[in-house]
Amino acid sequence: MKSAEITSTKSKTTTVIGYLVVAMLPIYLAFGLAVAEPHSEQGESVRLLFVHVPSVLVTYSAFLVVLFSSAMYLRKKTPYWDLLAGASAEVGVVFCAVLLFSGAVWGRPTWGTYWEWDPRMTSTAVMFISYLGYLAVRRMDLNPTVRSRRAAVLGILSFVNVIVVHYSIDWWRSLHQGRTFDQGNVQIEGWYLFSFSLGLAVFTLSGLWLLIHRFRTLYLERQLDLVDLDSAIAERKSEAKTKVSP
Amino acid sequence: MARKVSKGSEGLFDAAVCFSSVVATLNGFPALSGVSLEVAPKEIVFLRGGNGAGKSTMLRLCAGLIPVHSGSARVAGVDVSDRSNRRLLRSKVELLGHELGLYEDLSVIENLEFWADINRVERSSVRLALEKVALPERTYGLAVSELSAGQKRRCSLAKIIIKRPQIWLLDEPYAGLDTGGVAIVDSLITDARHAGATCIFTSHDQKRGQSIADRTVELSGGEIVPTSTLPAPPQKGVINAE
Amino acid sequence: MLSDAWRIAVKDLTIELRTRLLLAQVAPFSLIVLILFGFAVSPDLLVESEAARSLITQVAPGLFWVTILFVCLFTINRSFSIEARNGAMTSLKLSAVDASAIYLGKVLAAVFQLFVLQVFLGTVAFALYRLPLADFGMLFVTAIAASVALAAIGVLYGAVSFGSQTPETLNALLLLPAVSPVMLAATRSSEIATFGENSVAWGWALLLIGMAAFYISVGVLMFESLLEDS
Repeated sequence: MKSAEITSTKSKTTTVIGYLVVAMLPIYLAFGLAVAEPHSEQGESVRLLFVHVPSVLVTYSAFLVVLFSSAMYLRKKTPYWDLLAGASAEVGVVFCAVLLFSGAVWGRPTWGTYWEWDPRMTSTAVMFISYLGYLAVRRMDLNPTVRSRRAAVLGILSFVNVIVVHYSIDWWRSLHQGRTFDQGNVQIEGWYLFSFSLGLAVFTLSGLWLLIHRFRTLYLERQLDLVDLDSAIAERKSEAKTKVSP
Repeated sequence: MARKVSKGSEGLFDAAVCFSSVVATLNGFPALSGVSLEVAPKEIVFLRGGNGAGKSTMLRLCAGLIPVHSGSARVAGVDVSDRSNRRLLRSKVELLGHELGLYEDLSVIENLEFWADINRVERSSVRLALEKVALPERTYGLAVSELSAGQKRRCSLAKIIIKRPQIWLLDEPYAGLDTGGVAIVDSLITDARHAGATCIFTSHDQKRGQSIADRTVELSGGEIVPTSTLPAPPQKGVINAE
Repeated sequence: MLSDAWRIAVKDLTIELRTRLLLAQVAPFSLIVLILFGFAVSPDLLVESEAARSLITQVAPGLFWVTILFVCLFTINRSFSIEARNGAMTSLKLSAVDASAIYLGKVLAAVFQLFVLQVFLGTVAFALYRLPLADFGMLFVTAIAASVALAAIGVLYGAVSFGSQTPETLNALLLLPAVSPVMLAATRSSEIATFGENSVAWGWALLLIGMAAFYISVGVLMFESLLEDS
């Protein structure tokens, strides 16, 4: 992506992704809500897994991107990595909210409660809040360079929470479903597998779409700051010329 | 002594401070809008300018405490914006700013001995420094919070004497001092030059500033006012042209 | 580097001895939290109800560690507020010490303070909640390891929010999620040490030691990036 070209948050890639999502969405809904049969044990609520599990994967990937870009920012010190980390954390937080919400809704008919003190649910909530903290640091009233560096360190540290979430069911015995592809009581096959894969594609593409738009927005904001700075410098210099020294 | 062989120096001679179109921002505001300045080793420079002209920012930038937005800044032969050289830079400069850098709850002597320790300086230098800034002996054991404003200033000055940096950056060193204190600052600056150090200081006392400095530089609107309107260029400063 | 760290720790502890902020304010505060927790869990504590007693005994380790989290938050805030005053942190940065020495020194001072407060609060908790004690050794190791882990994480996150307009609230938001695994492991470990149920025995204490070692190494490596202004 050449820096000079960016003038809007829209790009060819996002247009293509956007149309793809729009095209896939009705098929996803049709298969997820109608074609896939209710599960023998979980009934209709099994459909929530088509939302829940893809949102897990997008959340994980987004936070992985935060980790990677933060490390790259500390190495290369180029602002683009910092912007990518910020954009990705926002996307991750949004999908993490979807994940928590769909989990709670699914828990109600399955476990009989919206919230169960299950290690994975609890650690996911903690992870969600820790990334909200990361976003709060990105809004700190500090010099941008200092703020970006601190955010990068935090972006790396926060990933510990993702690891805790992932291994929580191995570390604690819990009533949460096992990792979907390994074990658990819902076998992913047939129309389930198809709806599930569609969900995965729709969620990943919309995550990517959001990521690119957010990155470009942050990039433009940065450009705007630089333009503002140029005019502020000019103004400051003229202030020097008009002022008579004491 | 102030002239250190600097690695990868671009200039023809090693200036103590070499700024070239330096822009620095504070929360988006260009506090320095393009400063170009060279200070020769052993030179005493009086930096003047109105409130908000960028004097403090410039001194803080010399100590690597503010990021360089654009332009290049070398202090004591070290590139200020290069973080890997930060410790080398910090060992060569010391800043006396508006903030005292003292722990209010520790005594004068505890503060300065801690400072000597963390700068790898003999603790014996603490007493000498305290004598130089003429703090009465009865105050040595007092907590800094019990000192008067002027005494705190003197205590803060003692820190820079203990460290013996190559480049002295003094932001309003006369502020809050009585006549005795002002004379002490003057003698410290000249002593430092004799020991081979370079000094940049700011003050709102024009006469005093100009009487002790080799050169007066005026900052306005975050840049240096052209020299034509200012007193004569450096004479006492040693410039090594190679 | 270690001698610098030691000097910084001694400096922090000397300031604490002079001002007695933790002893005179945080210790009584944590005491009232402990009392109120007990009161909230079983308001009929006065009537010698067996059910209420067993309930409060069961949740006691958790209540204790949540209280310690508050203490940790205050300790870390204090550790950085003394450096924020008078620009002392700038002074430290201009000195010849390594960032990692500053980190270790501040961690050392915080470990000491946290441990002292844990001993104090722990003693009170045992008396207040009428707890048994099955394994003193494990409890001791748990307290030490938890102090190190909390201090290591606390100083690291304290530096992230240093210099912000509202360092106390930001620090609370960042620190509590980060220390939650420590709290969990410490609670489980002290439950085992107190009641003597032997499911994984030393596993939780070892996990605490592992977390302490991990965060100390991360702090030593990364503190410089957090500290520098430019």
